[in-house]
Amino acid sequence: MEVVQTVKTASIYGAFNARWLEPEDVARSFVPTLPFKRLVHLQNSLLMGPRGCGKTTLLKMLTRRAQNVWKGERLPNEPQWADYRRPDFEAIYIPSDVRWSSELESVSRELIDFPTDAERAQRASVAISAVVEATRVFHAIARENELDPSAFLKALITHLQLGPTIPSFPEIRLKLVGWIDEILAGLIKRDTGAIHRHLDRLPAAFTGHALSAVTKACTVFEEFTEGIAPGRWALCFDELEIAPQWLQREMFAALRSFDQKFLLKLTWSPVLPTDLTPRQERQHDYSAIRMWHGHAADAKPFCKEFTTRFLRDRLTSTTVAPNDVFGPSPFAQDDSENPDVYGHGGPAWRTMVHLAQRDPSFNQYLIEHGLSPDNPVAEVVSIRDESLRKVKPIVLLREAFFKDARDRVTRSRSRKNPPIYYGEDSIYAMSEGNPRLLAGLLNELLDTDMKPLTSGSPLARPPVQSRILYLASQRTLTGIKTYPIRPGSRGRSLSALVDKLGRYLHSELLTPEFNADPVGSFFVDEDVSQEVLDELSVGLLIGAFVHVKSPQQDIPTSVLGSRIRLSYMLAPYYGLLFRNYREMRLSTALRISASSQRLMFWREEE
Amino acid sequence: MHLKSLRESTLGELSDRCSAFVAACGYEHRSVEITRLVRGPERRVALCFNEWPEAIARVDNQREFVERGFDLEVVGGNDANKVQEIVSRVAQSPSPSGKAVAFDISSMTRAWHGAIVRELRTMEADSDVETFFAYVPAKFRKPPAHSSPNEFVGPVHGFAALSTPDLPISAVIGLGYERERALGLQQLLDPERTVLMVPRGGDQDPYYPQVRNSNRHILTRTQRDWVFEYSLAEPAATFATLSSIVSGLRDSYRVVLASLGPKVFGLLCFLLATRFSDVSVWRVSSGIHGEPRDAHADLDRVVVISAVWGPGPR
Amino acid sequence: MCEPRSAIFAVISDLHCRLASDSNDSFLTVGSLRTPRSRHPVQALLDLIDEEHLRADALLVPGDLANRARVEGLQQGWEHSLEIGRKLGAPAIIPVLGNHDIDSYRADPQHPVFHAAQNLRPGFPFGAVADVQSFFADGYCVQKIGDVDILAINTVIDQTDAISAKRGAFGVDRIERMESALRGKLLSPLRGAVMHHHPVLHTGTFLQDTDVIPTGDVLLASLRRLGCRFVIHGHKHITRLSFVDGVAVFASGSFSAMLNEFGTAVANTFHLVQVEGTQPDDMRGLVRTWVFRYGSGWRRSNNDHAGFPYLSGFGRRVPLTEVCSGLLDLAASAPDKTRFLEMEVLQAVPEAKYLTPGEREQVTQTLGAGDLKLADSDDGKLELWRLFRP
Repeated sequence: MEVVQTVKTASIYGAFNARWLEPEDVARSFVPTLPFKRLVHLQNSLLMGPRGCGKTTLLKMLTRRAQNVWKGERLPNEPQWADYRRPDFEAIYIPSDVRWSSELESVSRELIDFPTDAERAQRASVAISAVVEATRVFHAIARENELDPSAFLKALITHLQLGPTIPSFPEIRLKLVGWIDEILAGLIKRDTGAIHRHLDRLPAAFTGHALSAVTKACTVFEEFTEGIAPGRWALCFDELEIAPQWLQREMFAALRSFDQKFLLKLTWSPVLPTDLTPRQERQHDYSAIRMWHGHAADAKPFCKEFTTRFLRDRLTSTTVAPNDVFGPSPFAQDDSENPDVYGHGGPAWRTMVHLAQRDPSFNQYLIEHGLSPDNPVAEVVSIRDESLRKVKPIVLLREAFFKDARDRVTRSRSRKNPPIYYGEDSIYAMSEGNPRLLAGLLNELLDTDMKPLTSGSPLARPPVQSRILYLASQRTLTGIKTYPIRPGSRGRSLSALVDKLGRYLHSELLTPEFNADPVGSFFVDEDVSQEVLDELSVGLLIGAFVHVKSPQQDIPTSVLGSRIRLSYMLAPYYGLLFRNYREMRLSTALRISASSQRLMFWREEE
Repeated sequence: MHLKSLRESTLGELSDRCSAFVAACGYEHRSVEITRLVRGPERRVALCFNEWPEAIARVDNQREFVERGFDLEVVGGNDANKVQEIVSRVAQSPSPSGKAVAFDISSMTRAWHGAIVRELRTMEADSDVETFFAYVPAKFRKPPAHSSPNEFVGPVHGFAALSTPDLPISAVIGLGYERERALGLQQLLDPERTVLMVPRGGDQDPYYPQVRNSNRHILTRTQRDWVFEYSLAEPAATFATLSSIVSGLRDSYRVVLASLGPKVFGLLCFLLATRFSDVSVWRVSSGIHGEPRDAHADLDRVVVISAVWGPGPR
Repeated sequence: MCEPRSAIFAVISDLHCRLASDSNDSFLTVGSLRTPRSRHPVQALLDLIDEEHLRADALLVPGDLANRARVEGLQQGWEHSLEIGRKLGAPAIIPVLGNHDIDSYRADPQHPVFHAAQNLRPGFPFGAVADVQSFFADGYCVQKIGDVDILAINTVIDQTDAISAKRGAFGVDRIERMESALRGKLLSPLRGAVMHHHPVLHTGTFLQDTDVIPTGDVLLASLRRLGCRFVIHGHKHITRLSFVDGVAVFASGSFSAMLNEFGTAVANTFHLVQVEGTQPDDMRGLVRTWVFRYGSGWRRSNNDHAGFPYLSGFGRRVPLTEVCSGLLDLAASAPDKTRFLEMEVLQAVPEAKYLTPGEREQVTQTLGAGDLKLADSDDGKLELWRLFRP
């Protein structure tokens, strides 16, 4: 057999996808965040964010199994999290994924001439899935309370009209799953008559409203397990954005009015669904909780905590800190208190002096701001912040992207992967605060040979980090390119859009004239075509684009009118910075990049 | 019917034992190659693509099929229903010799493969039915410089399964040499376990290094324990191996099979799914974005499979 | 009353160990690498033995160690057998020859058909020279394992060419001579036989077979008269356990061959067969089965996924009707109870443990009419459940 280089993985962080982790493992790696504080409130919630941002993690953290580990293992050793309230409801996590969604969709295709039966079959499948998960929760509660569940199980069989069934949790689940198998058997044989008859035989609760069967099951549990049943339930439906439309409609309608005993905790993509309006949120029908970070700084506390835990687990050390392993990033923003960075001979000072020698426009910039190009030191803090600290990242980028000292900022081929993307802050920024991305980056960085160049240097050498992060960036772009295009669309619209905007933003940073206030984000204006709007929606879902918080709206109600930027994961590939900078009308940017009005500097092609 | 046995066979045996033969009339030169080597079957049907009716060798191929006594049926590349109807007619039409049915799958779409297998699976029969599947790979050509985008990424008609999402997904992906398809599928499905099946047609197989190169990203990120090579020349052994791998995965995963490479592997995925109805078979295709590419038959590597079906469900 | 005796036999059959350059008929190749472990049936089994702390008194190998008469395969197959036997702590390894272990197709016409098998190495197939001679000359020998006599029968003894190789054989004359020689000589309280070919047609997929031993019924009757109450064979790569005229006939499937025929029980298998009793007529047995999945290693078998349960038995001492009525009585004794634990079940019907899968199915059908069900035997528990009818 051919040997392929093994990918090293670490414990529960190795394949960090909360979808596949048991709730206990989710709890062991959980880093609490403000969204979780909001999620445990006694109200309906809509968790919004791109794939991998941690929505599933939060839902699973609500469950009893996760909470038991949190309370029993984590809190005693980490009392700093004590102010994170535990949920006051019993959560039932109802999973979903692309395969399940595709299977439900295929039921529609198979029964294309029988849309009513198709929807009933889908309803039955969803209802059964929900009840199956509910039985697991019931079982856990009964076990914890050492309750003999016989009476309840018989009641459940009776009231859910399961027919003659052995009164055990596994047998009830087998019975329910058997109903789905019958639907499948009918689909395979294309026996629409058999499917119809089977659906007619199913109890009404399973082919009615999406929540009928599961709420009924919970009610039965309450009636027959007096004293131990929870007062409230939370039904946690994951990945609703890929669910059948009837399910979406019913869930959103239920946010407005449903049995108060049942909370709904739903997940969705970054753009509010059209069925919901901000007015509903204001009316407290639900709380929309955003799970992404418009600004790199916002994600830092979570990333730091997560990374610290990760490193200590992976390196089996109780004291190692992210800075020990990765060192500071040249783009670090929190160096304002350290005057040495900008002082004479400091790292920023040296870079600026060097660039000023090569870049007449930067030279001019310094002069205009009252600074000497040979010694750009500002004694006044405000001048240092306004004129030096603000432009430091741009200076670094321009400096790095010129090949040698003789290059001038006119026409030059820039370097492919300058070693400037490394360090703690770069990693955090690139991850967008997305635990899955962060775990993925950390795993790859730690899989390299870690030997500091000198004592005091980070364990992971900056050039190695830079290479890894560049490859990750490249892979992200590949992921965008390979994401399925919409049927009927003209070619790779999304990746073309990303590429256009990436190159545009890069060119903003390498203009002939030094620009201290480049464009870094886009306002989606009304002149943007519908096709582009559609691609932006997909891009927001998969994390290619990120919605930037604006004072007017925390949660975008539509793509149109929102402010977006490229994901920081793409920064190394396109040579961008981890800043939003100012926004520009998207239609204008697209028009400019389509024409050749601007000198575009681009890296050598692969 | 249910799949009873599967073994390797030959064109000679196919010619001797078959009373019906179904082929695909497309624009590839390889469309007619197997047909030229097959004698015997009385009933002959050519499924003619309604797409690209004049591309490359399509016109010549069609003429040759007519000359060789084929009935032509025009079918869309994605029209599984029509293919099922045709297969049903061909397989169940009375034959004086009452013998087997053969399919040349070389130029068929995967949707057609799925339709054929689905029809066989759902067919009623009183006794065993033998089927032959012939496949000839294309002579090596470098893959296109730019891969066309993934448009259709989803379950093949009739092979979607329907399993509650309480187990994680395992994607078993047969790699091809077009870049990025496997990665795109993996990104979408987000499986907990990825299993890669790498085709190898012998030590001098020119496709092999290309497949490894085109998929180097996903190969290096997949645990080596879950990367398997299979021989194109031994489909029965490949089927047995795949069956064993998938059987092991089914205990803990919901399995998705996807074939992005040689069509014979795709056929094996469909055949396997008839044994395990909880296994889903997906396809990744570029749809209308794919440009016609010619393929000439590599006649040194013809593969013939005999699959015997028994009456009733398993 | 005598103390019951017992013994545990591990069974690996039809390894079909092949050369890598030969056709891909088996997961086991000569000299193959041992990692990844979960792809190598032997290495994976060694790991299983460690994990589950398995032990056996003997390892039975019902033939086809090699594939297509390759000497290297025979040598390697025997090496693997010795290795597995050592791991199990089994002092004895009892092989028999299968059709793939001899050169009946005359690939090497210079040497006799049995040349490789007879000259493989000292100790193969048996330690004692007399046993070896008896096996090759008369077609059988007796191996004593504790309180068990095992008859190793050579069903390929008369396979000398391609025509005779089409089926196993053990002529009536051989049967008579064997019975005559062994009558009164087998003294162990428990007796069984191991052979390569199947002496009977099992239900299901076997029914169409043309390579069953033609004198199989006569052989079985003779073995029965000699006190054998279980026969373990290979050849067919599908696992089956039947009870024929008081003798358990166990088709042990294949350890590592590629499986291209798909019956309900299709998987590469390894078994532990525990026999117990005080004398032949009260011998009973329990069978535990594991299946090999390429890439995943060995796992406990499962009726749903592998078509054969993890736990099965044979040799019940009471009629099936009595087993059913015992269980029905147990259920009737507590009409409101929906679950009877294993302890209660075995107290009421001790023989419930010793049902073959087929008998289990029959019992399930009978119980079903009374809204009862024996729990799945895949996790080894034997519980009786009552359906609840709202």
